Amino acid sequence: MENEIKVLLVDDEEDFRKLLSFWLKSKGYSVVTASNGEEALNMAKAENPSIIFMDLNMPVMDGTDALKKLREFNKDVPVIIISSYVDDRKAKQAMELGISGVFYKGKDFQEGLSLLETALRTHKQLKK
Amino acid sequence: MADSDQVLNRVKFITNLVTCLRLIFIYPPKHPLVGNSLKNVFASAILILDNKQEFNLILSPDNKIIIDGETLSEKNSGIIQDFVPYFKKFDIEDVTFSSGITESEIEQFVKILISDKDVLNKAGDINKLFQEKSIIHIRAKQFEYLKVEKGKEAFVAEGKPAEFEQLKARLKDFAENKIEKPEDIQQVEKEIFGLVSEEFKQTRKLSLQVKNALKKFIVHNKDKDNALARLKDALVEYGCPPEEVGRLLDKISEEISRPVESKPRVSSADFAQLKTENDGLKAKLDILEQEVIRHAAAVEQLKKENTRILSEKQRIDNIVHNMAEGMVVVDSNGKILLVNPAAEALLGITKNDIGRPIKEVVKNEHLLTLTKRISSEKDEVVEKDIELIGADESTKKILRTSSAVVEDHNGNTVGMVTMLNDITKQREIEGLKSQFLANVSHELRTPLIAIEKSVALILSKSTGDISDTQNEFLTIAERNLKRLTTLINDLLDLSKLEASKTVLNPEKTNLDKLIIESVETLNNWAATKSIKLSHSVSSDLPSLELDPNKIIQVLNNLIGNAIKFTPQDGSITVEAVHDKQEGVVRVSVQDTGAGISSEDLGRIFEKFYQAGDKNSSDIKGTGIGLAIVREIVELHKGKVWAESEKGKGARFIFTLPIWI
Repeated sequence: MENEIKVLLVDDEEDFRKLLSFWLKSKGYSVVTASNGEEALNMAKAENPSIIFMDLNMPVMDGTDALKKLREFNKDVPVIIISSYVDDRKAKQAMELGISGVFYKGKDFQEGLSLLETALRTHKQLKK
Repeated sequence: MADSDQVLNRVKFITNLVTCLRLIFIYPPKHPLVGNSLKNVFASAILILDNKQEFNLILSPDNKIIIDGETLSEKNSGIIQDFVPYFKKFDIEDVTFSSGITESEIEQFVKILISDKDVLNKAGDINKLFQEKSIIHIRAKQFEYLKVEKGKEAFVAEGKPAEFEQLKARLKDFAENKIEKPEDIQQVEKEIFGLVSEEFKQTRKLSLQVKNALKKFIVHNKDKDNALARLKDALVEYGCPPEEVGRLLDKISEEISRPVESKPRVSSADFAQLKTENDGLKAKLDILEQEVIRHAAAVEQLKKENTRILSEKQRIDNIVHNMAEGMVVVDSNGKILLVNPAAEALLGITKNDIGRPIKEVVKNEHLLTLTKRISSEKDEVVEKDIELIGADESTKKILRTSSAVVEDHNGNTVGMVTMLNDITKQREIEGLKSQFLANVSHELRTPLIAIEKSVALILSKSTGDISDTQNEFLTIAERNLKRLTTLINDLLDLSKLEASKTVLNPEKTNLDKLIIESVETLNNWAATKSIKLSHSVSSDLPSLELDPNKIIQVLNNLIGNAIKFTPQDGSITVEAVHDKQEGVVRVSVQDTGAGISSEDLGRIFEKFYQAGDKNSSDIKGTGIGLAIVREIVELHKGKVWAESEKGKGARFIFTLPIWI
């Protein structure tokens, strides 16, 4: 597809990655994945995604650190945090680093999709 | 020393002796009254002994007390006669007190005086008994006790008692003219003269008995004057000083010639009065003695009561001393009144700190605020968990404190008592449990999500077409997964709610900071629905004692709910004001959502209660969020409620009290 929007999906759980990226792909997005913060940074640099879905609790380097590092070289790309729990305090930390939303794993993928679409829309508007 | 003084001293001696004997009978020997009276006896003995080597004490046959030859008259003091029975018990002729006598000898002597007759008899020789008791300055001259007619006392002369009775019998016969033979009369005369001579030589007086016997002889003698002359000769020959003999005989003549027995020196009126006085005094004495006995009984009672109270106090002291909980009591000025060993160990203070103001001894601020805050609700027990860093920075203790006001029986606040419990271990375990809960939560949810998503993807046909049967069975799977998920969410949230029953960890916090934090956390979420999230905090908000983590939870929950239930393009306002009148800070979250029906309004804070469309597949939560909010607010002693009308948005309000 032309002008396919590239999504970088970062999560340490393989099953979840598989499922969500299938879903996103079925909706017409192209998806690249990473399984920890370090990989995420490499992918972000290499693939230049339009939007990033990032889990916070990961080994090697977790989402918060990865986000911090990301913002050092990319202040732009919208990031949506993936969280397992509803009162994640880490999510709050991530807020300060500028994110576009929080997607709770327990919710429908559809909601994730709305978040994604809204974030991209907002981003486009900001660019204008 | 003047004679009158001497008389006074002797009387005093006997009086003191009697008083002492009575007291020692009633009171225990160590009693101050007894000690004082012994001192008095001793003092008066010393006075008599002044310039003398010794003085002696005799009891006459007619029970008069004679000291150094002087009879003590009852006129001086009525109670001296009460000494008689004590002395009579001794069955001795006289007692001599010599100089050098000590107080303890007096004490022993008095004790002997009050002993039973059996004890005295067992001792046998009185002087032996004195020796045993280390009495060396008191000597007793023993009687030789001979059996006489019942009721009659023997005459005071060693070895000659029985004869006097025989003589008296013969005199009786003589008086009745039954003795006629001159030899017999001479015999009688010889005997009576002999008796008189002996007594007069020894004592320079005649005892009443002997005098009366002599008088009888003379009176009934046909030859009075010659008899008297012969008596005179006999006396002088025996060795009595002639002057005194003369005086004696003159006296006897005079008495004989007096027609009647000497008139009573006291008129009958005086006598009656004296008797009345005496009776009165006796009655008073009886009353006083009763009083003394009653008093002694009361003292015994008090002693018993005292012992009982002391042992109770002891028991309570033991409990306070040994209990595992620490206890600290301070007065209303903050001075330490009581601290038990457990508290000493926990706070690092000692018993020596009692009396000092607590702020000198305890450095931890949190602990000190306990003593400052006296709640207006006096029945309240204030609970706080306080963290203490130990002496070496690595040890940390967590104390659960429970403080309550102490009132006196009038209801005035006199201080504060705080119980301290080391809950460090408990906290550790709670921490582990919490951690476990979080882990379990994650471990349960993760696989479920994966399964749910997989099933959902297949059902959405994104993986390809599925047969009707596959559709049906996958739908069954999906439905049951939802049930499972809901159940697990509820269980986990319930555990969280139960866990939130732990005591708060309050800190001085600025509420506006927390509100800002919460708003920022949720702003982007609100933004995804284009909801405007604004806040306003009044500038005069005082800083509050609250648990910031828990209050954040409350704010996140309320604001999060507002976002959930507010449609696109709505707005949510968070406001915090200081209500001076009520003494609270009031926070409200207003949304422009669908509102809450009146039937739901009363129940939304209940556990598991969910307002709104129950058929919605949107997993909105487990209905526990607001229950948790209420729990937290109420733990802070605040209130939470909602105001709403269906279709007109909802306003959630909670208050937090301002501590002084």
